[in-house]
Amino acid sequence: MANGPRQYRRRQYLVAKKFQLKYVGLILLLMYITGLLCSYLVYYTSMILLGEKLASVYPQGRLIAIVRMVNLRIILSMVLATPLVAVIGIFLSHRVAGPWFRMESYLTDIAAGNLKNALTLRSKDELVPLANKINKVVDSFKQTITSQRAHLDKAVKELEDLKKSVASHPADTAILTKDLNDVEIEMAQIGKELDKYKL
Amino acid sequence: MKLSLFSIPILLSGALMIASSSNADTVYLKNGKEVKGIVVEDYRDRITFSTADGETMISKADIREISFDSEEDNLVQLAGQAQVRGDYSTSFYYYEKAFKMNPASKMAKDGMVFLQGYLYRQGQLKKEADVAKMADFENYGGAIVGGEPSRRDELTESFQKLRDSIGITLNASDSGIVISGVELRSTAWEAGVKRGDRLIAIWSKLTGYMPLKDVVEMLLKKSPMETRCTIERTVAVAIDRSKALLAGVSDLIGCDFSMEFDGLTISKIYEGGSSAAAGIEAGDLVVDIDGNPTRYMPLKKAIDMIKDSNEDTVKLTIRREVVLWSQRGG
Repeated sequence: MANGPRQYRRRQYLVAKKFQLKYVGLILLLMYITGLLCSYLVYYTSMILLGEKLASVYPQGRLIAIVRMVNLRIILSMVLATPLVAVIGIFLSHRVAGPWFRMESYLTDIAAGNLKNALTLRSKDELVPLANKINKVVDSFKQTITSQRAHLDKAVKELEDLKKSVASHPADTAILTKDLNDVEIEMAQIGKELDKYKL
Repeated sequence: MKLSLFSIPILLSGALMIASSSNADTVYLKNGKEVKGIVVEDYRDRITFSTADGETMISKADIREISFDSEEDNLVQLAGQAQVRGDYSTSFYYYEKAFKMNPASKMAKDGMVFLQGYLYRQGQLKKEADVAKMADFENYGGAIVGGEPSRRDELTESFQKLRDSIGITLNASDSGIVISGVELRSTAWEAGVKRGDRLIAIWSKLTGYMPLKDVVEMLLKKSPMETRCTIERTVAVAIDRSKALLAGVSDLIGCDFSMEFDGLTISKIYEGGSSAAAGIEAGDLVVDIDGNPTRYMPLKKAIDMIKDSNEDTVKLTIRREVVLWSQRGG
């Protein structure tokens, strides 16, 4: 996000093989179930509506042959649709698996302490709101850490001044007291910022 | 959402297939009318037509044209017309095309096999005639020899030929053409034809409403190898009541049924069962159970009829295809 609207195209569609194949398998399974359910409904609805009429005109053997042929063609059309659905499944799952894959490597970076980059996804990808939230969290960490770092640097500087004051003779009590107060203020600031985290 | 998108084409194709499969045959009558239904029997001079109002007979003399639902049926019809015209090679072409379109079409297969043999036989006869002619020419210097074949009592002669070649004697009766006699050890006897069987079809062409003379002619006009006939027989099959109350039809009469394209079919025969004892074979078509035609009868109803019968036997009318192999010198 911080890097601007960078356009890039993913060349590899099977980014998370296990996850995507599971997704494709699920789509196929549901397609088969829906297909069978629809066939069942078409078959029984037409048989209820036409069964008696057809049975009185069509010799049973021919009627059964028609029903068998319809069943066979439905199975055949499902078999033929399988590769198409698998390709569509891979394409669709890639929109989830791509961001998934990026988030995983991004969070690995975060865990290692690299907060420099922001998580970027394509606008058509799934999970974009989640990526935005992750970016927001990382941004907040970044701000807190930057601010704490500043307070810490200031406190370290005050402590060095304090050391110098103690080394000089005679030591000025007023200056010593002021330096100590400054260190205390910076420490209090760090403590205050850390207070918002519930541990 | 995605799933419903996938299911729409499947649903539509299923509905379209049902719609396209259930088109009817159309009979265009000479009086300008057209009737929709299913041609269930095709005789030489008439058809049995099934409509929503039941079965009806339509004389072919009243029919201008029949348009069949399936393409192969139309091709078989064209083949039949060509055969009647005597254009055997065209007829063979149509039968072959119909057979390629639907290898399960018995009419197409039978027509093709018959014509294959018939054309071969004609070729052989022509060759034999040419050889004889050449021999006559060499012997008598081209003088025409021999006289007109004797025409006396042609039918008796044909019957004799039938007895000699296939080994059967035919009789016309109210129920159709009946096989009134089977010669011992003849080709018909070997094929399992029995006295009293009805001859239903020769090469899938129904013999009903056909003069006996024409049927004999059809049988004699055989291919050099075989003649395929459909015979019908009514057999009484004992119902085994010793079996449990919930016994299936296989326990009761020792056979299984299935519903095939041609109708109710015996799918399996159990050794030692009453069906085997009654001479029923796997592949036999059951056309009637205790006087009830099975043409429009669902499989379950047919089985229930046997199960629920209170009689000791059930009368099954079966149809079987038998192959009569030509006898040498026949």
